Amino acid sequence: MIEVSNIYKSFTLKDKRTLKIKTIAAVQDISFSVLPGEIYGLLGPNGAGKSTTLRMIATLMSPEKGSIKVSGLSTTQHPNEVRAKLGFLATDMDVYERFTPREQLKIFGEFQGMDPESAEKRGLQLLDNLGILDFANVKMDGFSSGQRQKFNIARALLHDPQVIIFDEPTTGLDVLTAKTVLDLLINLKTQGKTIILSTHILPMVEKICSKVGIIYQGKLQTEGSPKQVMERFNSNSLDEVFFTLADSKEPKGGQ
Amino acid sequence: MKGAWLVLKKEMLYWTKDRRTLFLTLFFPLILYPLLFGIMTKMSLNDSRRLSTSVTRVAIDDPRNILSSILFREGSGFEKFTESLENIPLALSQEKIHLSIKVPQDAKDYVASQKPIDLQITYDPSRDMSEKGFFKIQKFIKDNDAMIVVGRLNELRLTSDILEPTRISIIKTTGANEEIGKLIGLFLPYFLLISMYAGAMQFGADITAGEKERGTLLSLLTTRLSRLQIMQGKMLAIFCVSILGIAMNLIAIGLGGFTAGNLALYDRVEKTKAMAISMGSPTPPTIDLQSILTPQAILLTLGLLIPLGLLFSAIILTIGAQSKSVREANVAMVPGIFIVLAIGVFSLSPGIEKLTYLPFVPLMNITVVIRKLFTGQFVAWEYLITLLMTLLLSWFTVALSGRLLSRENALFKS
Repeated sequence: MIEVSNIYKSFTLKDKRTLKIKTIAAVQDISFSVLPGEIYGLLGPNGAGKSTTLRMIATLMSPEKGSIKVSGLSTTQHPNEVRAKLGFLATDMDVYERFTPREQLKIFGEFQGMDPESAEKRGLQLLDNLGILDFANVKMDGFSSGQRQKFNIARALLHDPQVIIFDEPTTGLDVLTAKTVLDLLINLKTQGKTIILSTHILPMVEKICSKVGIIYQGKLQTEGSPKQVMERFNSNSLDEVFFTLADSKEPKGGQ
Repeated sequence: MKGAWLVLKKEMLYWTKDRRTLFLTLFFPLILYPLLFGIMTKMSLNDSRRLSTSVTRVAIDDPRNILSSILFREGSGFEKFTESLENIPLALSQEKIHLSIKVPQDAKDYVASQKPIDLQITYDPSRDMSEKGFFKIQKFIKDNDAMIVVGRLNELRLTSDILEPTRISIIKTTGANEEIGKLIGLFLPYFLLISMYAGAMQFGADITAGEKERGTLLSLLTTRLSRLQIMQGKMLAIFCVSILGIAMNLIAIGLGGFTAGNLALYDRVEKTKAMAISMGSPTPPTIDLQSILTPQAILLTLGLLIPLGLLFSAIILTIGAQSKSVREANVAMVPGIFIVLAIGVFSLSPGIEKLTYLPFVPLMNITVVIRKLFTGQFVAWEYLITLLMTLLLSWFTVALSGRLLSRENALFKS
C-alpha cells in the first residue's frame, strides 16, 4: 500500500540576469493512497509535478513537508527498506551499454539481495515475457529505444516488488509492444501488486486504472475512479477532463 | 559494506568491457615506455659515440706552422680545413668547420723566449661538434704545454713535482647507485602524483557524471543499496583504477629503465672495462638497481600511495557527482591537474628536503619522503608524520564528499 499525505516539495531557481533566487513549489499538499491490487493513474501535463511526486515515493527525493509510507514504512526513515519493496521505472533511465541483458540482470539481482542464479533465471523469464529473450547475450549498445525500455521494465520487476512505479512505461514502444506492457500491468494488478502509473496515453488509463489523480501546477486537482472523474467534469473521456482543467487554470509553471 | 563491494565489482567489470580503455591503461604503457626509453637511449648512445669518434675540422691561421705541425698528426682527431673562409661565424654555424684557430705570426719567438703564446680560438657553443672540439683542443694544448714544461724543468734539472705542492686523493662515499637513487627520488614522486590524479580522472568522471548523463545512475539509486554504499563502491573503483594505472606505469617504466639501462650499461661496461684495464684496476664500477629499488622502499612508497589514492578518489568522486555531464566534470577536474603539477614542480626545487616544516605540509611531504626513501636518507618520524597527515586529509575529504553527496541536489542536478 502507498500512502501519500500532504507532501510538499520546492526547488530554487536562479535568474541569470537579475541573480535573484526564486523558490518554485513543485508539489503542494498532495495526498492520495493506493491499495494492493490497484493501479493508480497519476496524470498531468509536463512540469505538473508528477515525476517529483514519483521520485519522492521512490525515496530518490525527500518531501519538505508531509509524509509517504510504502507498505507501512516511512520513505524518509526507512528508504533502503522501501526501495527493496519497490520497482521503479522512469523515462530518463537507460542501460549499461557494455553489458548484455543477462549480465546486467545478474548484477542488479545482487544489488536487490538476490542470489545471481535466481536473478538470472527470473530475469530471463521476464525477458521472454517481454519478447527480447533472443537478445539476452547481446551487448546493449546496439539496442533500439524500445528494446532498452523493455529491458528496463524487466530490471524494475526483477526482484518481484510489491510496489511498482512506472513513469511513462510505453515511451518508445510500438503499438504491439505497448499492448504487451499493458497486459503485463493487468497481470501484475491481478497478482495484488500496488501500482502507480504515469502516462499521457489516457485511453490506457481509462482501461486499466482503478483510480486516477490529475496534478496541475503542483496540486492534485481531482481524484477518483476514471468514471467518477469524467462524471465530475461532465466529460466522455479523460482527454476532455484534461483540456477543461488546463483551460480553467492560469499557467504559472511547476516541476 | 557488502553493497559497496557489489558496486565496486560492477564498476570494475564494466571497466574491463571497454577494451580500448583497458588497452590504453594496462597494456599500452608496457609497450610505450620500453620502446621510448630504448629508442632514446640508443639515439643518445649513437650520438655520444659519433661525437667521441668524429674528427674536428679546424680552420687555422698559422703562417709559421707552429701549431699545425703537431695538431694535424695522424690519429690526433683534428683535420685541417684547407678552403679559404670569408665568414668564420657562418662557417661554424653551417658546420663547415668546428673550430677556428689564429696563431700569432711571432709565436716561434715567444716559444724561444719562454713567454706564453696568445692563441685565439673561435667556436660555436650551440653546436655539439664545435663545443666538443673546443674541449678537445683545450686538452690537447694542456697536454702539449705539460710536455713543454717538463722539458724546460729538465733543462733546469727539476722535476714536475715542483709544480704540484699538494696532491688530492678523492674518496667518494656514494657511488653510481646513489646517483641513480637521487634521480629516481627526484622524478618518481612527481610522476606518481600526476599519473595518479590524471589516470583516475577520466574514469571517475565517467562513473559519476557520465552515469548521470546516460541515465544509468538513476537505476542504481532505485535498488536497495544506500546512496552511501553506491558512493563508497564508486570511490573504491576510482581508487583501484588509479592504483592499477600507477602500478602498470611503474612496471612499464621499470621495464623501460631496464631496457635503457641494459643498453647504457653495456656501453658503459665496455668503456669502463677498457679504462679499468688501462689503469690497472681489477674491477670496473657497476650499477645495482636491486639495491636502489628495495622491497622496503617500494612497500613504504605504496603505504603512502594508498591514503593519497583515497584522497584523490574522494576529490574526483565529489567533483564528478556534483557535475551534470562528463564534459562539465572534466572542466572542473582539470584545475586539480595544475595544482598537482605545481606541487610536483615545486618538489623538484633544490634543497626543499631541508625545510623542517615540510613533513606537515600535505602532498608536498609525500614527494620529499619518497625522494628520501630512494636516496638512503629515510627518517622514520618524517614518514610517520607524512602518513598520518595524508590519512587525516583523506579521511576529511572522504567524510566531506560523503556529506556533499548525500545532498539530493548533488545527484539530481540537471
